[in-house]
Amino acid sequence: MLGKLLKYEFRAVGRILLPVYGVYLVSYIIFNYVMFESDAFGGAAKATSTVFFAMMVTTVSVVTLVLIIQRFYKNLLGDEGYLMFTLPVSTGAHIFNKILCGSAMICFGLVVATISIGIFIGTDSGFIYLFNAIGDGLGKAVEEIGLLHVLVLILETIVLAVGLCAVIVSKIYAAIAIGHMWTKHRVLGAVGAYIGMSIVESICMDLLVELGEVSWINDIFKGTTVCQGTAQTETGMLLLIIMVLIPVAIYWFISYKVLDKRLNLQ
Amino acid sequence: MSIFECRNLTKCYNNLVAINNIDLSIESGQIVGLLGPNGSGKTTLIKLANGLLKPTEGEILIDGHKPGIMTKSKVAYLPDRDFLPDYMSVQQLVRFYGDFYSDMDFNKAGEMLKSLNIPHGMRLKKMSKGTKEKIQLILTMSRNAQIYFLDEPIAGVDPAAREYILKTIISNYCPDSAVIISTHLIADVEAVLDDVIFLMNGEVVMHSQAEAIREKESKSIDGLFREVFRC
Repeated sequence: MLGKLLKYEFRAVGRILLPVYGVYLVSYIIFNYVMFESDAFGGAAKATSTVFFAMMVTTVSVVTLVLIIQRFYKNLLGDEGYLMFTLPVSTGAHIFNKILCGSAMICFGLVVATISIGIFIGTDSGFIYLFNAIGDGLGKAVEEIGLLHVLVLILETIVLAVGLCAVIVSKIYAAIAIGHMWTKHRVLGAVGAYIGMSIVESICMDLLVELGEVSWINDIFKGTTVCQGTAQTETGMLLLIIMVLIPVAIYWFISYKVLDKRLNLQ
Repeated sequence: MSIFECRNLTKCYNNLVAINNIDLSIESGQIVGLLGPNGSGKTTLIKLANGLLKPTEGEILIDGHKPGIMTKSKVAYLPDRDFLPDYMSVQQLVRFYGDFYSDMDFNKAGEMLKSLNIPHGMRLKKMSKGTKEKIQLILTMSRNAQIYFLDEPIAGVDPAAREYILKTIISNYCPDSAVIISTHLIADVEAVLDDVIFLMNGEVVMHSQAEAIREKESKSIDGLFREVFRC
C-alpha cells in the first residue's frame, strides 16, 4: 500500500513542482546565456547571475517548503483526510509516505540547484572545462581509493543527504501533528512545537558533541573530516547516517502517536 | 453476528459529551436511518465507526472487529463534505478507489457515470456542487462493501438531485450489506428505510423498525421525528 500512496503523492506534488523547477531552470539558462554572451554587462555578469540564482533558489525553496506543509495539512488533516484515513492503510504508512515524498522534494531541489551551479560554471568557463574537471576529480578519486570505495562514498553521501532532508520534513510534520492536538490556534501550536523540538534537538547535539570529545566516537568523526582512511570515512559516514535516522524515527513516532490516537478532523 | 455494534460507547470532546453510553446493534441486509437534529451525535458516531475518532469509553465493532485497516476495507464511507482531491479527474478517482479497495466494481462505476454524462477526463474542481456530490456517491456506492455509512447524502442538493441520490443508493448497495444513512431530512428518506435510530444529545432515544413505528404510532417517521424533537 505504501507504493500506491507514494505513486499518488508524487503525482500530486509533481504537477506543481515539476513546472516550477522547469520554469526556473529554463529562465536561469536563458538569463545566463544573455548575461555572458552580451558584452554590455562586462564584469557584472557573474555578480548579476549570482544574485538571480540566489533569488530563484530562495523562491523555489519557499515554494517547496509551502508545498511540503500544505500536503500534510490538506491531504491528511483537511477535508481530504476523510478519504485518506478511511483507506485500508496504516497511519504509520501515511506519515512515512509524506516524509519520503517531502524528502525527495527537497533532494530534487538540491539536484536542481547543483545543476544551476553547473550551468553557471559551464556558461562562464565552458561546459567542456566543467565536464573535464568532474571527470578528472572522479578519476583521481578512483585512482587513489578504488572504484568500489568511490561508489560506496557517493551512495553514502546520497543516503546522508536524503536522511538530512528527512529530518527537516519529519520535524515539520511532528510539529504540525502536535499542533493538531489543540482545538484552536493549531498553527500557533505547531510553531511552538517546532521551536520546542528544535531546542531539544540542539541540547541533544551539544550533549553528543561533548560525549564525542571524550570517547572513541571522536576518532570516527575525525575520520570523516580529515580522511584518515577510506574505511574509517565510510564507517564514519555510516554512523552519521544512523545518527541522522534516529531523529527521523523519533519524529515519525510522535506524528504516528498523535494521528493514531488523537486524530480529530474538523 | 451484527455487522455494526456499539457497546457502552462514549465520546467526549473536552467537557462536551457527544456520544453518551450507547449500546447498538445493526444486522446486515437493511437500510438504517440514523436520525436526529444537528448536534445529536450522528456524525461523531459515523466518524467513530470509520476510525476517524477514538472512543473515550466503550467500544465500536465492525463485523466483530475494532476500526482498523481490516474494517476499513469493508466499510464504504461518504462524509458530509467535499473530501476528494479536486485536481483529480473522474477517471483518476475511479482508478484511485480501485487501487486501494479490492471490492471496487468498475462496471458499476462505469454504468453510474454513464447516466451522469460527465466526461471521464473532467476534473472535480470544474464541476458544480451537485455533480461533485453525485461523483462522491457513485464512488462510494461502486464498492461491494459490507457496510455503507452515508453522512447527510442529500443535504445541500436540489430535490431532483435528492431523487437521483436515493435511487443510486437503493439500486446499488449489496443486498447482504447494511446501509446507514445519517440525515435530518426524514421526509425524503423515510420511504427507503427498514430500520430507524433516533439520536438526541448523544443518546439513542429510539431504535425500531420503520414499519413498526408507522403501525404503532399511526404516523410517519417524519411526523414522529417532529414530535420527539420539538423545540
